[in-house]
Amino acid sequence: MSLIEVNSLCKNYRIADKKPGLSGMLKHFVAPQYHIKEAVKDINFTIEKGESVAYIGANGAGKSTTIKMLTGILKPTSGNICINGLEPYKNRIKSTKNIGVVFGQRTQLWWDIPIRESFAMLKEIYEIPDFVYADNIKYFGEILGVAEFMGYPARKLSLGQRMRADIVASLLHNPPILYLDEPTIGLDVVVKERVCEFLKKVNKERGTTILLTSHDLDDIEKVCSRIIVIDQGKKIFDGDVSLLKRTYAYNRCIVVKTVQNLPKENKICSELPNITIEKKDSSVYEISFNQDEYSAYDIIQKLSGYLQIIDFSLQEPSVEQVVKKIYNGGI
Amino acid sequence: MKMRKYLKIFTCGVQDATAYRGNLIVGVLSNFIITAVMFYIWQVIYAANVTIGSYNWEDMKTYLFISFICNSTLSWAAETKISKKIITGEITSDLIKPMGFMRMTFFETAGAGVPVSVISIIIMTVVAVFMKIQMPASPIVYFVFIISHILSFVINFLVSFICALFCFWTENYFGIVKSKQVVVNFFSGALIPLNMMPEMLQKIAFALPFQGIVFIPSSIFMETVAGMDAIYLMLSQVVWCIILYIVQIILWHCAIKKVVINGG
Repeated sequence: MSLIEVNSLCKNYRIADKKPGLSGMLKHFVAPQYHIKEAVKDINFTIEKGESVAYIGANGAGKSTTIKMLTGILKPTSGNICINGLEPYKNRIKSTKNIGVVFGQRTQLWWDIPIRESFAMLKEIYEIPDFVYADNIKYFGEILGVAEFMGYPARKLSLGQRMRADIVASLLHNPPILYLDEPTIGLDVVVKERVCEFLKKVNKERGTTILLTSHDLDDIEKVCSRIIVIDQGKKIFDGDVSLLKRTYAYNRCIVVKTVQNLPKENKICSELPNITIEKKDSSVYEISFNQDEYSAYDIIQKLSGYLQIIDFSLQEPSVEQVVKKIYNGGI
Repeated sequence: MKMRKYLKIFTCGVQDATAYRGNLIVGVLSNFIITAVMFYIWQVIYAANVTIGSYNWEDMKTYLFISFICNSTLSWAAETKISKKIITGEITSDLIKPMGFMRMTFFETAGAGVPVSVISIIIMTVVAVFMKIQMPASPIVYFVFIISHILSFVINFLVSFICALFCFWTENYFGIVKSKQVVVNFFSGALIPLNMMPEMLQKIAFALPFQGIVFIPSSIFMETVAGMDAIYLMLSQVVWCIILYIVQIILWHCAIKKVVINGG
């Protein structure tokens, strides 16, 4: 049996239909009307012990809803979930011992009391033995550098510090499964790197199964080996990160602003095969290319031979692009 | 092992409530000002040296004194905190812990009540000395009062908790907490001793759980009830605790089914 099993999972929300203006408000007050929004539609997957899986999708694709159902906070409309032999929604309190959860946009630390006290409370709540607790605090504290701000309340921490503390808090009881909902949101590159490396280490050394949502493809590549893509509540891809990378993603894009029109378009294309040039505006071009084939430098160097570049910007592959590609690829 | 969990949450509650010293003191003072205002209103009423209900001016002073203490355990901040957790979706971080939400909230709120109560008792003891307020002589009365006072807190907490659960449906808290406070203040005896009310209202008040919050512990402290009557009243507090506890379980099961976590 797999560690996490999800079968034909669905979740519907009821959304109020309010007509604009005061009359619309009155109408809604007297006779409210609703429509059903399907946030998650018939999702299936299984995750084995020790895997690290990324769960990606654009904003509003249903990632957080799925995570919340996996943790047992939300009740699925239909379908079932089985985590370590337990149905999380029905055995919420029991199944919380198997999981650690980090919500990037919230904190589970107490706002006004020192982090140290929040940790000590978690120790009591999860009934963590003294030696395990001491060991974990030392181990995680060292890697994530939490020791330096143990005495501060959560409100005094920077976002990066708070996130690190939150990750430690979620791992204190050695959960076999760790869910992270947008753990790198709003973090700077250095902290992001640190967090990703840490997660990878935990996955390798402790065998913690990781399920992480994000819409930063960079994080995912660093931490996860498998990827599940969802869009509008449906699963549209499930497989190796390298497969996704080979097949669909990882086209970087250079947007170039020039003074004149791009001459001899065909010539450039023949010199640099596999790139696509799209004219965005009279003098703005978007050139997408595979980052394994070319570096941005190659492209710019080639282009500057033909025309005068005023300005350019480099865009990294985004989840939205991947989703679009998967659709175009017909999966 | 089990008890340590609760003790830790309790002490965290204490620490949390004392995090903002100014806020804590202003909170207690504003309660104190309300009581002071009531003190002077009653003083005017009693100026003709009358007895209202069964209370003379000396009794009334004691009643104001003790109802202030009974009312101080559950602050506005602690009450709105539960509702806010539900409204903002902060409740998620409690729901992912291996512990019931009600229990966690109970011990947290109890802890938060301690600093407020301690400051209130200190202020009131000073006031009692200066105002020459009559205090019970027998230590047994104090002991029985403390038990009744703890039960009063449990009832007050459960009522607030039940009201907060309605936020799962209403998605706003201010109206709920405010109306709860008005109803509780009126029917608990915090505003007027219940036995001064017209018979009709008295009947309603005695059929509700709120009298257990202020009126019963105050009556025990003032020794207007004693012996078996006091025990009987305290039993009624216990019964209300059990009833409210059951109501809370039922409501929680309904609420958690339709939980919508706000804010991402």
